[in-house]
Amino acid sequence: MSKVRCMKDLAIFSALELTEREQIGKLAGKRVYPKNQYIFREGEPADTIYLIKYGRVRLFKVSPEGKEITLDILREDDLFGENTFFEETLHTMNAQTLEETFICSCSKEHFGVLLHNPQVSLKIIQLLGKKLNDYTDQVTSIAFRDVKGRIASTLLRLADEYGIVTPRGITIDINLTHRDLGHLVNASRVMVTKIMGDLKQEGAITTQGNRISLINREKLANSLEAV
Amino acid sequence: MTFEYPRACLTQTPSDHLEFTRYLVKNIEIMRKLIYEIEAGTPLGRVTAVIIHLLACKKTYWNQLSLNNVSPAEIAFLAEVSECQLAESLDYLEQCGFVLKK
Repeated sequence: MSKVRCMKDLAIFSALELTEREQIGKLAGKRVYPKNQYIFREGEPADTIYLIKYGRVRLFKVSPEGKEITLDILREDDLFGENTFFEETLHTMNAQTLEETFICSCSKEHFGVLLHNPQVSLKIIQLLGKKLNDYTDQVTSIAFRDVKGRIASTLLRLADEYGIVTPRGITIDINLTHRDLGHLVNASRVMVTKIMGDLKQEGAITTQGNRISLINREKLANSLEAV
Repeated sequence: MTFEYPRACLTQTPSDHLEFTRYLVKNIEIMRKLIYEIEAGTPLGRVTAVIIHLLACKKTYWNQLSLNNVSPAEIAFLAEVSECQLAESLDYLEQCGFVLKK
């Protein structure tokens, strides 16, 4: 906990001078949320932008039948609550922590002040642009693929984002349970466990605890084309 | 699907950045909604999925994809929606700038 000070330490503000970062620190709120805590719920007024310092947050909606549909799982340096940029808007989804999570927050007005800094503004535009591309890919992915294809596609994306080279291959550097993966691809935990077993047998991946390593990207990519 | 970014993305003033940020956030919201609709199997989600499949089979014409030879009734049949639900879904997608009805 001691390494965490506040919003100014986030990567998004890393290009700024120390004095500018000190100013940002004054604008921000900060809070540690325990696991499974709601940060906001669908229908609540959206008046705050959130940035994750550490931990994980799940964004999801609940269908009329009561099924929870995960839209994204966010981690450190990610931003959410973006629709606060619009006047008098409501949250269109729920945000809930998956583990203890440290979140910095600031009001729409304060965030507007930050956007006046071109360096911060460009960083935010880059972050949002990447997010938009990822979601666009996700729409196409879920329209086309079966569960195996969606898992393969998600693992490839996570490996690009969070992969580190290890002796076992490219290891996705986040704890990802089968339940988490199921949330991400909207499949049951049982189905995820079965498909992960298939992918291991095919020699595409290996696991150690909740860490997944890609040992053969080509085989994983073939799972996308096989559908 | 591709996005035609507004001119603001090519300029550098803070108000342009704010406008472009809003543009990105709006489209992120739309994409999240479509992910939800497809996963929940709503009429809009089913129509979107069918259109994505049909467009994947088509060649580009003047940099745009055309479904001229597919009738609304056929799309409604494939998506298993009524013509009224199809009309509502296409209206939404047109409003988002993803399709253009002629």
